[in-house]
Amino acid sequence: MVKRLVKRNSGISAGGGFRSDGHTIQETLRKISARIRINKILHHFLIWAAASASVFLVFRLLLLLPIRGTVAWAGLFLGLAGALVWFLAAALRRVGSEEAAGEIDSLGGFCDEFKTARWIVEEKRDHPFERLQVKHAAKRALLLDVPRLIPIHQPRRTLAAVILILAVALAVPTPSLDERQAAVSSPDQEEISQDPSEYREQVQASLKEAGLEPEDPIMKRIDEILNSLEAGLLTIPEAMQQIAETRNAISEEDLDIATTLEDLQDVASAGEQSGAAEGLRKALEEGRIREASEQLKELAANSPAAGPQASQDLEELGERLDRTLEDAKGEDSQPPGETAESQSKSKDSLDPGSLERAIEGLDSLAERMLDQERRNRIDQQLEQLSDALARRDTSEAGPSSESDGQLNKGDAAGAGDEPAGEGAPFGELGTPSSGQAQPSSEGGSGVSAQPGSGLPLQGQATSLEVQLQVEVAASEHARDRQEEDPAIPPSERRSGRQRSSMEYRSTIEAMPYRYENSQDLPPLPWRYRGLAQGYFRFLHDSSTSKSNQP
Amino acid sequence: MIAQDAEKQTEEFRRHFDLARKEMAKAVVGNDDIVQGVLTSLLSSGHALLEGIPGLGKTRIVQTLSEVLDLEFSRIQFTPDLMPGDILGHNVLLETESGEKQLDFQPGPIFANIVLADEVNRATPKTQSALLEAMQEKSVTLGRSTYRLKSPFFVLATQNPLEMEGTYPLPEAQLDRFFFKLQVEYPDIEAMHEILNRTTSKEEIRVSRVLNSEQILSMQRTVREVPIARMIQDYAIRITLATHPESEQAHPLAKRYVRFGASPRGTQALVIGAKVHALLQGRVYVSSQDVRAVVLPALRHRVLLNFEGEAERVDPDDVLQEILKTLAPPKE
Repeated sequence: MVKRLVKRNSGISAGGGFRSDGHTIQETLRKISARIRINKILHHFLIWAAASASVFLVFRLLLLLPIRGTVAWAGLFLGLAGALVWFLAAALRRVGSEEAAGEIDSLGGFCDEFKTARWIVEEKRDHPFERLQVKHAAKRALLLDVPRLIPIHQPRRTLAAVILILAVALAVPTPSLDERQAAVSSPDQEEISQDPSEYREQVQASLKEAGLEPEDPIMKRIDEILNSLEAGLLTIPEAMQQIAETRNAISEEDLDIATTLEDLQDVASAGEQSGAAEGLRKALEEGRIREASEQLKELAANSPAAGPQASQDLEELGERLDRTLEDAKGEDSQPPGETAESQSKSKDSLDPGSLERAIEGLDSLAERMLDQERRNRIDQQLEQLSDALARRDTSEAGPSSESDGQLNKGDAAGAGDEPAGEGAPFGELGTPSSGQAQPSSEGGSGVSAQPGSGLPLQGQATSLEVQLQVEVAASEHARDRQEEDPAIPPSERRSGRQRSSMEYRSTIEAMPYRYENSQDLPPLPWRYRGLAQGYFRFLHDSSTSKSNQP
Repeated sequence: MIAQDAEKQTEEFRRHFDLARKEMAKAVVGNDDIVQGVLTSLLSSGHALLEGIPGLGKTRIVQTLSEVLDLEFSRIQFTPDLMPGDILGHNVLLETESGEKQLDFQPGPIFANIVLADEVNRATPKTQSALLEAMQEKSVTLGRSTYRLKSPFFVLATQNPLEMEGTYPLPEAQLDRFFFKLQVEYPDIEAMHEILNRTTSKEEIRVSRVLNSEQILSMQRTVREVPIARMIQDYAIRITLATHPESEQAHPLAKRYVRFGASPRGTQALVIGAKVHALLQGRVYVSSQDVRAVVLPALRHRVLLNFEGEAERVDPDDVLQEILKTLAPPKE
């Protein structure tokens, strides 16, 4: 091996003195270092090229996937930058003479001759045997065919691999910007790109499944909206606005129930009732309307035997309840305080049929509360329909509307996605039990999608007032339903439609703070303050009563 | 001395070494490695221990060496009843012509250039220990008098494997004083043929003396002058440390089976033996290959196994081979 690696007729003779021999060795090692470095740079360059080509290939493949272009571009940039940094670090590393000596000894099979010679030269040792060793090494160095010993590598395989990867990367079809945006913005594209009439049937079926009869006005309204949309009479935002109005009407129903219930509770707790009327008051305060109705019937049946004063008190209570229920039916709901005032004013003139009407009104209210679950299902279906329309609208609108949707999503999610921690503003406090933004809207101003779904949103974020209304109504209903179901333990009962994102204990701990601070929050309109106070009072009272239970 | 002198000196070394080896090869068949090991020990100013079952020619090798070298030779047959005085010598009470009585030292067989300690492990440890001072200090102390031994001084001991009946293990301190431990193996078929041809015919083999004490001392000095680079020396140290079970660089096998690793004397043997090996390879510097070449004879008797190693009949050579596999020569 040694013979193959030396020049046959170099014509150079060594032995020009120890210093000259040392110089010869150092020069040889320098040459070898340079060649090793070139080889390493080439090697690292090709590795860098292969890595970069691989990154580019991954980038092209990512473009085929339904992910955002910025992710792919960021990946490409980071991958190339990382590879470049690695390459520069590797290329800038110098090859020392000791590495060169080790390499030449290893490649030439020189049994550590150059390593020892380098050590002797660098240590400036001067023993005759050391001189002799350096002399022998210098002689060998002069005879070395360095280019043959350390040829400049031509890593054809790596080069071929780089070319192959690049070819594959270039062969990967590139989707157009519109295609990619469509793929990015509509993962459920098939949901809304199918036949419109078929889709309408699906919507109708789902609404029917949710409890909506074909002759129901809401069903008719949705049909009308979808037909108009299909015929091009409505744009998607207009259709979404009309759906939002429909949903708002459903929410208003829940709000009416909640307001009526609140008023009834005020009425029940305002007067001084006898022991017999205490059960009625408690049932009303706890929202058990059916039971309150039964209590009232029982009181009416027993009033002749209870004496004239009790009968008069009962009639007065029936009068107030009837008036409250009548007021609740009206278009303009009055504040609870105003109702109580009017009741006190009309205390002198009692209507003999008011007690029966109050019982009927309570029964009717109980029926309406039982229907609340059906309304919730319908509302969810409408919400999904609105989301689907929003996605289609975004995909048709292009990237600008997509980014708008993102902004809106952030706003909406920020309003309700955060758990209600201490010190949060009252607006965020509106959904302590839901943990999600309410995808409702007020006055048809727009819709929002569920946070975290990755779907773009359209229109304005849901206003805080509407969130509060829906939440209160939903929680009232859930409370009724859960109290009827003894299988649900108290600790697992939910206050609304969605599971709380907070720990139950954290919610309880946070409640007194919320209740105390809820009265002075400026964004809440005056007419909803009583509602909010009642809501938190209820939460506070129920938690207190539960904590007192053994 | 200039480089040309050094070159001449190394050439002389090789020439003399080859001369002695060829002369010994006339009488010793098939044990080239053993002969080279013995000569290496001699030229490294060390002592050699030859181990093998009876009949493999251990004593023959030593006798031949004594015939090749123009040195004073003595032989001590170690037996269980051998006493230290039988090796070192005695103070004898003599009466002078004037009638006075005085103690006169009668040197024992240790006072020679080459001492053959035949079957050294058949003597008791007390008698074996009589060699300690002689081997290390190259002197003998009796009473208040210290006597210098001749130079060069070379102990060649033979021993049977410990499993043989009537043997005592050599003390660790004495084992460590042997530069090399050489294991004499059975000769192969060709060598057996040659042995039979030479020993069962009329032909009488005669060897001549080719090296005198001056030449041997000069060769010993030459060995010491061979340079060894720091990284090669570092490699020798790392090999030694790998045999130390408590060392951070210890090999897993050493941790498991070794009670005591090689001593610094073992590293010295590695380096000096590697120097001789380098000179024999025509080089005037030590390479990592030279170190690796002498690891087994230099360290095998210095790696003392623990109970587990003894119970599992682990061969120290296997431990050292594994260490060599793990410890690659220095790249830079």
